[in-house]
Amino acid sequence: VSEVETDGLVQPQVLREVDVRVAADAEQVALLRAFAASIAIRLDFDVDAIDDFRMAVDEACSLLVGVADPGGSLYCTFQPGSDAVTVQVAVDAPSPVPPSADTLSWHILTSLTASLTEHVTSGPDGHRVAIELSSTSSSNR
Amino acid sequence: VRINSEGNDPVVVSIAGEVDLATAPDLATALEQALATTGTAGVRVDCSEVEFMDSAGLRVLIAARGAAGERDRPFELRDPSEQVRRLMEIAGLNGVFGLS
Repeated sequence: VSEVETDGLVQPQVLREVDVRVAADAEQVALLRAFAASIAIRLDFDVDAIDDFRMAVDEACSLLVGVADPGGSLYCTFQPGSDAVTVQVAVDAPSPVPPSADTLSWHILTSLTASLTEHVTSGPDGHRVAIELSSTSSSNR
Repeated sequence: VRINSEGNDPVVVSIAGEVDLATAPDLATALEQALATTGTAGVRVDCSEVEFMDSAGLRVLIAARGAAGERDRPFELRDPSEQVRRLMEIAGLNGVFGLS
């Protein structure tokens, strides 16, 4: 199941918040990678910054797919700014394991992003595990 | 992803396309087969046509390198694309795989 919601372009070069929900499985990650690259291009990111942002969204989504409830969804919100973009990725998970426990992926994510945080919340129905990252339009390579 | 293995000694494994969470298992299978059949010259992995690789692909390469080491077989990466180089550099593995 893939579902894309957007409130559309009001004027050229202005992107509004975009919510994407896909099944939390490995095959869907390529779709979100392409989505991330498309948004970065439209925000006029430089070439290296587009690549790094695409890799960061891929790593965040892959990491959360790995911990998600079987048959669950992956929720991804892109919030474009003037020369940056913030992304929140979340899944429902059977256990409250923080994403940073995956040290290789977390190290790669830290290197690729301008800011990175993790959120684990627990309720009566289970756990919500989320990653928030932001990237800027100019690469700091 | 398209993975092609050629030769016996070394076995040259050429990867084209995207190696991510969904396709990394295909690479793992190809590298296991290559390691099982190669002689003393080991395995060479041609990365020149890799369009995208992430930590899932990297973990497969790290595991294959470990398995090759246990059998005392060389395991080399050749011609990494720009994106693979970037990933290796971030992970601090350029030296491990003989890249600079």
